[in-house]
Amino acid sequence: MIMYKSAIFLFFIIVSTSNKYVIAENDEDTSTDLYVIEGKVFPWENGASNGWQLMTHVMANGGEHYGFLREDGTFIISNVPSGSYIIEVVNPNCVYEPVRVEINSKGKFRARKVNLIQTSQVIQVPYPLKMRPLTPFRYFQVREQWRVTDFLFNPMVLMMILPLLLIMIIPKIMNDPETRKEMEQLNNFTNYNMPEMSEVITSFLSGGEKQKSKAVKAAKKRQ
Amino acid sequence: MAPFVRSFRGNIHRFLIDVQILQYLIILVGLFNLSLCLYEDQVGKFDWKQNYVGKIKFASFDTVSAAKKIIVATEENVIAALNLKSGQILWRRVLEKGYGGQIRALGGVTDGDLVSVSGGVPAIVRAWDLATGHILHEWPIAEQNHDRIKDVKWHIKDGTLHHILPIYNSAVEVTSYDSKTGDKLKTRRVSAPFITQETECVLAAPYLACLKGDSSLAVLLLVHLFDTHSQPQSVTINTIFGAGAQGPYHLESILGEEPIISISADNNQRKRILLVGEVPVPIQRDIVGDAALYVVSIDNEKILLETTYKNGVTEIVASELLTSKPMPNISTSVTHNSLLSPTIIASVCPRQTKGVTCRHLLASEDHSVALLQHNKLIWAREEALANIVAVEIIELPMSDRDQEIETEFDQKESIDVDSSWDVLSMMFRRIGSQLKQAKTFLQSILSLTPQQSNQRMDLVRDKFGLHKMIVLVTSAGKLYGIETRKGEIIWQLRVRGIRGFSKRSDAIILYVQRGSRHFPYPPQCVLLAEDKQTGEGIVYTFNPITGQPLDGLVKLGYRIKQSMLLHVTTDDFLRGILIFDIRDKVHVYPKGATAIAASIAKNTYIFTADQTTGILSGYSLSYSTSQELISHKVWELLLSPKNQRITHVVSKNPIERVHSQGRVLSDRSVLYKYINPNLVTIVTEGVGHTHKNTLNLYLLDVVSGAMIFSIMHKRVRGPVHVVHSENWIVYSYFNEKSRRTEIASLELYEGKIQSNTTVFSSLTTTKLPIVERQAFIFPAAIESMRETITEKGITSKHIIVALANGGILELPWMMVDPRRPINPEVREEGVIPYMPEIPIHMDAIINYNQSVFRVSGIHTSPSGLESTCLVFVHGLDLFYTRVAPSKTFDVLKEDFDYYLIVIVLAALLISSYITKKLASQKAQKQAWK
Amino acid sequence: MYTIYIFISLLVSVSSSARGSELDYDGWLQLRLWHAFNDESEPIFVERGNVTVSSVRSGASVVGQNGLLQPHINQLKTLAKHDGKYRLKAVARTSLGNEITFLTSLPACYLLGSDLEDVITIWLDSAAEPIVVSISSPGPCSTENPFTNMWTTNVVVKYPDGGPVPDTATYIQKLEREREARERGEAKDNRSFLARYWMYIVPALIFVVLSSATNPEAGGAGGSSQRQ
Repeated sequence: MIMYKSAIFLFFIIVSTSNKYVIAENDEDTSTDLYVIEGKVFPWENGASNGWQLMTHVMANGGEHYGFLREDGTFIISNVPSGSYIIEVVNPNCVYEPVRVEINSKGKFRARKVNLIQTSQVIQVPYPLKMRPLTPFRYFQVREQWRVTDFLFNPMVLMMILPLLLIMIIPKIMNDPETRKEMEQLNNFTNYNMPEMSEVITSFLSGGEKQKSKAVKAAKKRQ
Repeated sequence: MAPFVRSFRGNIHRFLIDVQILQYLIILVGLFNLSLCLYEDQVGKFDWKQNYVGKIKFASFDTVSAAKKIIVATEENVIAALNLKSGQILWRRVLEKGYGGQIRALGGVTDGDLVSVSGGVPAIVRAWDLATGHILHEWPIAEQNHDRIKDVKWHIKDGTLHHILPIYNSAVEVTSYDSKTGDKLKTRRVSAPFITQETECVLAAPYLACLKGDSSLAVLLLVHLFDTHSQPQSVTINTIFGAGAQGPYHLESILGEEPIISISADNNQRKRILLVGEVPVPIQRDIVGDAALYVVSIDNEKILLETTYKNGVTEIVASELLTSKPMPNISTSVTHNSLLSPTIIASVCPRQTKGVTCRHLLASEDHSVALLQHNKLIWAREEALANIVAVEIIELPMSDRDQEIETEFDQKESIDVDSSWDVLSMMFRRIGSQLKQAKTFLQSILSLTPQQSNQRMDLVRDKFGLHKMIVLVTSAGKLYGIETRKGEIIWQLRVRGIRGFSKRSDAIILYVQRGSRHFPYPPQCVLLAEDKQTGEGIVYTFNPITGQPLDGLVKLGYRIKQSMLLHVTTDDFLRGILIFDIRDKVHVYPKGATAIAASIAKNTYIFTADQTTGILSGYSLSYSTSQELISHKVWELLLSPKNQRITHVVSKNPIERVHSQGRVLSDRSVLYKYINPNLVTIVTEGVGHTHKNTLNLYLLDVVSGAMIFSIMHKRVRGPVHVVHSENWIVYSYFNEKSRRTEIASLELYEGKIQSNTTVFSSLTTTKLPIVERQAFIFPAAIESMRETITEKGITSKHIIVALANGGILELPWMMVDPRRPINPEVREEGVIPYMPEIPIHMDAIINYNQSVFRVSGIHTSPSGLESTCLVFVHGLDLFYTRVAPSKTFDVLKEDFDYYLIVIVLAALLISSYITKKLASQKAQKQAWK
Repeated sequence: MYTIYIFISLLVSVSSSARGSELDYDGWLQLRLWHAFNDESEPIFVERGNVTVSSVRSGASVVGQNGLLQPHINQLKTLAKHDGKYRLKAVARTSLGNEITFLTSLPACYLLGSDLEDVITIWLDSAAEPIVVSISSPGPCSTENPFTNMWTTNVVVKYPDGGPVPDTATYIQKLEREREARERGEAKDNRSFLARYWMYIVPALIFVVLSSATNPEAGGAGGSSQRQ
């Protein structure tokens, strides 16, 4: 996630350095000309449910101006004086990325990505707008389902079972004279031959399979 | 070995950093776990939503499409299609808010398309698909005369939109457009030199009818709009009324397809009809002044429908227009609860095999709309609910059995609170209440007084106090009681002749005087409003559970400036209200509470804020006697209206409780909160050229009149939304400079020592608090904000934010905590590092895909559970849900795994038995060895 | 004596307004003070003195007022006994020529308890016009005779703080630092898997070895559970 952000950030910097535009901070309302913002909204996947156009509308600056979708998804927002507008697609099921549209007093349009933190950065997007859904809304949490494995690997359960095993099994081993001897040997081994531990490990890893089968046999015998 | 050690140390260091990050992560994860996330299977379990369209402005039956429906356009700037059979919304388009979306004309439905004209200058013409509600075309009308948009009349016919503008002293300009493409087809000027600013004109297409002259000598002039060569025809009032009619006359165009107008005379006592045509035909018949008229055509025959309303009976009398021959088979009379002085706004009378059946769409005075078919009411919609002005959420009464047990406890509690009760009076009270109980019991057994019929069995308090009653006051003066479980309307009540306080943006005030905990006294709510005619105050009391009026409408005879609910109760647990009139006189309602009010008058203060003069004043009641309350001014200040305009005066929720008095810092010391219950936030917006786009926020102690803090934002503008709670204020505004919505938050602290540990007094505390402040970027436009509230204030606070995109966001206050550290090294418990932008998490949207539009307010109310807060959002839609800001820590989660715990317990039990057996076996074996 | 008070008032006011100047305008301000001691709802105002703030930005002020006469002190005492309020009316005249009347009050006993020491706070709005004149006194509450009949008046001039703005600069810097750190970290962190995670692996291995050494069966079980 963080990496993703930083990548975008880098991209921003590159774009912003190469950009010549300077944003007019406050457009003077000298011209009373009104403009029309145009664009198209695409539904989520092609098999969108019927009537998605009805659920969707386009909003400029949080509801100052509205645009409604035609059947093919195109929209216009009319009666817009020059200025800067955040165009958002309002749909309860899908997230759309908002776009900032700037109309200068001469009626020139420019669309760019919305960056509320670095307001001077400009990444242009094509105009007329093409609003594509990013992802469907996920309003709900997924309910946890009860599974045996979840239960067994629950740390609490593991903590209970492991000591139980140790308690039950270790005394049995200790009774066995052969293993006791082996144990002592191992203790000496681990105590004084620290650097060669890797060898032990490798031997263990390579001989793991064998040991296991042996262990099973041993267990059978004991029973 | 050395490098090993070094790398080890490095790793330890790294590990520590990791731990730091981990801590953040844990906090963050904890945080988002805290926010209420819904599971998909909980949809609709404790929330509901209702859609409305608002008061009908234009309506039309769509008889052209395959699916018959009704198209409506409303005062709330909504265009919608309603199902003919059920009244449900088929589709709904919400246009821009306020002036920018105001619908000026709707038409073309009979031709199979739907054209609307909306907005200000220039107006937007939109053509909609009748069946689906998609937009087909949209174009703006270029308007030359900007200030005359309200004089423009619109006529939509045969795919052409006519824009009709009277030009004073010269002519009527008719501009025709193609309603689909917006092409200008023709501009005509029809000479009409008689039109002045005072001339009253109505459109009776293709004519414009204007009334000229004073009340004694009036002349009706008719202008044919599409014939430039024609001369205006004139009809004198005498030819319509005959001799003896008195002015003032009033002109009205009669709804329906025909060009017919009605003229009322004799101070609206009677009216007559004029058929407009090449030869105007007056109908020589008097019609009562208050009848609503509609003309419908059946088989090319014009039928006049007169609707009158008297004593709850709506009568529609049909007669042939030209002959005045009554048509009894179409006339109907209906009595229904949801009709109140209705008018027919749309009507169709198709001829079917059985004969003519008429369908009338009736719009009532209380904004409700109903469909009448023949003489049966098919459905009714309570459109008053689209414009709610006051909300209270009230506990339901206990069931009878619980009441018996609880009554005693309740009284003991109240005795504890007020220690002045002596033993004797306690006993009397007890005996008295028991007698009362016995009486009601006997009554119910003998069924002497039948149980109130509208009291339902399921309307009782539940275990956790989650089932409540929402009392709503609408701008139409209609009150509703809605239960919270399903959103069902339990009762409705009309209060006629009231309006909101015009000085306070049409607010109506609702107080709960007595809750439902004081059996056998009924709960009581009181409504404060203005009389529609005189503007004087009125008081209306009612039972919020049953919706029955208690004292009825009381006219006060003075104008109300301020009001206040007392916190002390009378003997019958009724909290009086103090009403402050415009002559600074204090009244108590009910009168019986005067003595109680006077007993606390020494410490009672009232403050007033006047938006027009900018004067804020505080009054003390300390010179009151037990007979009369006397106010005297103790402070006054001026927010000069030359520089600023008061937009918000926000005090804290009076029922709020603050559980924790301080905040633990990282060094384990405590920073004490500045909790001043008398603190009021005042927001003003700058006026004039130099102060435009400034926002001032003042924190004022309204008891001492001392300013606590003030802050100013430059280059910002509204809409401003303020939340004031505990020791913090959160407000949102639009930053003009950076062009984004921002949320600023202020937090007040007394410091490391608390000035008074028991009770806060505004008069003794002179030290100004420390104010922490921070601003955040909010990536969405805000419609409304409100804080959550719980019974004891232990649960952390969240802010419910209604977004412009229809979502309701639950924003943890922690996210807007001004103490969020910018430097991540400084850490405190429960404080997340500062980030300039507040993220909007999808799972914190509590209304999921149930978008609500045009939110005008949010009401929060505590439930019986400390963890849970009830949220009611109103606007064009109603939405109710409950939230648990700190998760439901006081009840088991509803998905609690009962099976698991049973299985585990059983397994443990069994295993202990088995091990016991095994152990004994082992001991036995050992013994054998 | 009198000059000392003035001096104090100067000091206090200068120190209080030194912080966060948001005022674009400067000007002077004159307050004429009237007060009322009567224990009735309708106040009877008598003149108390005047305050001149020569510069609202610096808050420098001069207070000119006479001492209280004995009948006034007696009135004040009765007022304090009845828990009444001392009321002060201030008529402010600004450099723009506006005249605004303010009313403020405080419990009379605080004035007696603090020996006629009070603080007059003048709040200005962003246009440097006075919006609030309020009086306060540190107290404590008392109904005794004050030691002196001279006022000790401090004048404090306050104006709005500038509103907070979202701190984007630090955040952007932080992001940049983080990015740089990661770039460096990524360059450095190309050690092998074992080298990076040895501290997690070793304890696990020790455990495995120990358990397998003690008993192969237990070791197997432990290992398997760990792997999963």
